[in-house]
Amino acid sequence: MSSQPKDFTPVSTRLTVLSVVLLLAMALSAQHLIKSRYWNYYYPEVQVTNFGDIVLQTIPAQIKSFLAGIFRITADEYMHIGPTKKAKQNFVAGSFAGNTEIMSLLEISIILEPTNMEMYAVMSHNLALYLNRFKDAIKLLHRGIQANKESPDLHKLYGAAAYCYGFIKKPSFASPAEVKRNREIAVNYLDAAIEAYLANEHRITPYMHDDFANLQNYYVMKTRFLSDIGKKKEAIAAWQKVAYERQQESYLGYYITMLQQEEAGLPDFPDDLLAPEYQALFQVSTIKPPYGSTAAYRSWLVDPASLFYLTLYARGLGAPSLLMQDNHQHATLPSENKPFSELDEYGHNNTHAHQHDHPGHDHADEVCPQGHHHEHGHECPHCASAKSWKQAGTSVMLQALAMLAAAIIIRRFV
Amino acid sequence: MNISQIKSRISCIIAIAWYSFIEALRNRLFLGVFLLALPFAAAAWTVDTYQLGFQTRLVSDAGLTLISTLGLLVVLFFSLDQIIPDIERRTVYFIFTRMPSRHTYMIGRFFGIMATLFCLHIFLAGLLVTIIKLRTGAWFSEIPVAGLMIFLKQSLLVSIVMLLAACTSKIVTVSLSVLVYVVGHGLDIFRMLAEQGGNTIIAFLLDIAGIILPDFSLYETRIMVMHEIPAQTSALLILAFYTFTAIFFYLAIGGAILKHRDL
Repeated sequence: MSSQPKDFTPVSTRLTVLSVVLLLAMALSAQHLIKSRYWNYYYPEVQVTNFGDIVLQTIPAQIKSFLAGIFRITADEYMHIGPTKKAKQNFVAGSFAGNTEIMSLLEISIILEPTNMEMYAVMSHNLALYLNRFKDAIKLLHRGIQANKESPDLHKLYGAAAYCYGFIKKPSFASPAEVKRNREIAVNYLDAAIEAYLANEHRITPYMHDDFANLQNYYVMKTRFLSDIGKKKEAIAAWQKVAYERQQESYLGYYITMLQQEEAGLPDFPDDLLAPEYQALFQVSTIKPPYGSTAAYRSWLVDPASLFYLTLYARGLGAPSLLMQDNHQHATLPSENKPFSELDEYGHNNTHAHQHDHPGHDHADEVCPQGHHHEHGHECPHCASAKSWKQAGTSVMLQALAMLAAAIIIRRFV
Repeated sequence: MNISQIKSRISCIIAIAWYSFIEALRNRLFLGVFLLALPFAAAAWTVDTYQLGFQTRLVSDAGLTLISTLGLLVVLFFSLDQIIPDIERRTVYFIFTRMPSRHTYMIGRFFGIMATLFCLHIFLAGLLVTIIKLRTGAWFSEIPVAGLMIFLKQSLLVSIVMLLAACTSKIVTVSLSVLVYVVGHGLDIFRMLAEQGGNTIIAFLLDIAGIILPDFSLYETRIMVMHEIPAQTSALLILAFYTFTAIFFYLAIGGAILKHRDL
């Protein structure tokens, strides 16, 4: 025979719960109070400017890092998708340049994970050089520098600031005075970048190597900017620190040689040596995006012919004429009004001898039921998507019919 | 079954569905869910650190994610409040005395939640389309279609929750529902991994599971909305057919279990 304890009443239970809640609230308040009072002790590397920053510190770093990663991946996806067709957006697929959709995501990402250096560089370049928000870009980099004072990658932020200052005004489009003023500041940032790099060189592992933000590039940029602002001797001194291999076959090297030899025809800026190359480059672009087609992720709901346009977007190609250069079998234009009218349901143009000539695709070994030649063991993403539609539609119908039959049997006999 | 019996069943289903719907609307949690949508809608205007203007893709993507999440909350919390509390409070006896069958009760409860979900999706998708229209001047027809697909998906989940609620406790129902939801999204991937790893037995078991479990990956709206590619009508019709047969299947099992359950 059991009897309930005398004090185990609903009122006492309620009081216990309330006491626990009160204690929890007090513990949290005390934690926040202590951390806000002694923030410099708790977060020596984190810039704490408001209560929101303190609150963020109470979230486990792994969770913040995970969320920041999701935001970065989403931003990358948006970058590959490109602008919204129905809204006027001034950027292209496949490039971060001028992309406004990604900025809020990346901002949240660096709020959650202020130690991610790459995001500062992407955002600051985008803000300064493409979105006409130069001051915001520099403020952002300063925020990053404040939050990563002890990081071995600190030089990357100084390097990014130098890049923004160095290239916000170009000799071809701005007055020499403006260019010089900005490049003087850029040199200061480069000095800071070099100093930070050398101070942390022993902590920089091969994994942390950056193709752009490295010591050699800093010296090259410093040489160039010093020569631009008229400090020729310092420029030559900086050039001496550039590796011998980098000095060869370089326009800047050629310029420095002219400088050392005090040639009469020395232009004001090294850029001036490149004028013919610039003109040639602007006439015919041979630059191809460095990535391939998108993965054929599940897309059975959409018209496979639309995947052709999707591929066009995903590859960062802005115009059918460019697509024609890149993807011959798709882009044979039958008429002006209907450039892709003869695409079949798989998004392919079947009016011509059908051979896939994708870069990196040699579809010579296999012929799929639709007559597409496929390399052994590899599938064209378009055909894979088309098959996924057929397969998914059939299996969905079969499963639906099986379920219907089972449901009728259950209703009837169970 | 003659016409008067069918009419009687339909009127019972409508009555139960109507009261379930009213119960859900009066629930404070539902009001909370509705109110939660408003600050998120306001965020479409405020989350613009660098004054770069309205970002259509970001807002539509985040909005659809929000619709899906709030719908999921409604499914999990409101579906649970349909059958289990009735059994626990013994009010189910009163209902069964006036019902032609326990199946009818279950179908009525299901339609009540469906109506609640439908209202929620109409409100949220309408809000999203309106915000985008106001800011960009363009109609994004993909969003209502995506809303419809999310509604179909969540209706299917409701039927699974109701099946589980008919035979287990609350905590087991929630756990299994979440498990089915997750597995339903990734069954294809698990099967592919098993096949690649040479585990033919596991692959075979997963194939069988694939017949019984719903395939939620069919309701993927992301490619359609993000790339602004319209969904094919035929595919949507197949999807609707699949959803309703699957719902019928799970409710039939749930009804059969409830029929044989000793209350």
